[in-house]
Amino acid sequence: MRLFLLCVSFIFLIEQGNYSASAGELASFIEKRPLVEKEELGNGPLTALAKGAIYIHQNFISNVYGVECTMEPSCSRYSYQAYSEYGFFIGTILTFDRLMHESDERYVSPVVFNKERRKYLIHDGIKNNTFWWQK
Amino acid sequence: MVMMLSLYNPCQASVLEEENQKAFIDYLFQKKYYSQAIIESERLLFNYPESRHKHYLLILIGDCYAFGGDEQTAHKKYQEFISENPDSPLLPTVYLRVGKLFADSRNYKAAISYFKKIPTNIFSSDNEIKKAKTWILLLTLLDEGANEAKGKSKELSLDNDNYIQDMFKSYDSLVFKSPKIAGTLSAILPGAGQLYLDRNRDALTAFILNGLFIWGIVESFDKGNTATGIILSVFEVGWYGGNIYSAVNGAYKHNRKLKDSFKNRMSIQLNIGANNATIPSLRLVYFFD
Repeated sequence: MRLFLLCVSFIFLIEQGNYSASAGELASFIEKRPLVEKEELGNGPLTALAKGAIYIHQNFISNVYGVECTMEPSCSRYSYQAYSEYGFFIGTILTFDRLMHESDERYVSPVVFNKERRKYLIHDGIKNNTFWWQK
Repeated sequence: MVMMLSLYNPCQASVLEEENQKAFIDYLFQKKYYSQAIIESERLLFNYPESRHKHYLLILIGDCYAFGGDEQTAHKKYQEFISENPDSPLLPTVYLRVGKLFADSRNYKAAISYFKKIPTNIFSSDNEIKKAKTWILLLTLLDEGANEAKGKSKELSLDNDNYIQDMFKSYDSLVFKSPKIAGTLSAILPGAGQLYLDRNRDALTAFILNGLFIWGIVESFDKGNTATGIILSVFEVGWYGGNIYSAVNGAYKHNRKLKDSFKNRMSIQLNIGANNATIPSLRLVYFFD
């Protein structure tokens, strides 16, 4: 369900992007987002659009449903970091990979206690998925 | 009164106090009260800057950080020790510790460079030299594979050692997964690579998501909904690429986990802890040139 809503929000943002938002406006819009610590925009309009979709997910969908992700960082934060560090193409691949490998990850990645959310989560940062091609 | 004063020996009291403090620090360390052990060690070093336990305590402070989970500070403390005490008889044990920290963080090349320093140090004991050589072999095995490690075992004259033989046998019994096979399988049929990696639920997720999106694309174009078809295709490219990446990534993670657990199992016998640090003492070393 959440995935579907994310897809819908992405399409919605594409539509919005066609009508009004320039890359600069979108950048200022996304800069207000409170949930991600590292603020890095750039890598072109597609990356900005993807980050905008994450913004909508974090502020309008996740706020209603609550954070349910069993991983740390949460999928949206992970995705945001992926787009910031690797740009649109690799960021997208990493995001879709993350959404697909959630179920069996606990067998190969460490489980850590998250003080903020007060529960045990699977630690699966960006480096955990890029270690084999990026030293 | 004069007789009683003559019995009082402040030097002896000081030594006793120092020994008591050191014993208390050891007690704290054994009880895993690492932060208190650090404070007490600093206190002893402040009160007795020339203490005979100085080197031992400096290493113990590093150990407290390492065992307490602050590997970065432990690294810093060990490096400080190496640079400030280049002639310390405890230097080999610090090299072992630094090597172990690098090995734990999977930086095998750096770890090997530290283990290689141990046999060349005149203060190294036979036990430390053997540990260092075994670590070098273990890390070469994990980093470069069995053939390289077997070649190196001959160089280090450890090819007949029982422990090393067991290590090679145990390594050969590990079942690694091929990232290439996993990626190819997932490219042919989404989810097949994950199934090869025994990630059954991930396989099901990849298969269903890709299947649904491909079905949606076909239906959309069939019914003339070109825009929907294009949007779904864009997402399907992401799912398909993510599915292949997930399979390859999963194979690397599987292999990494196998190697880590193998390293942990093997390193139990190569345990490097504070108990290995001995009090500096006089040693006689012969050189035959």
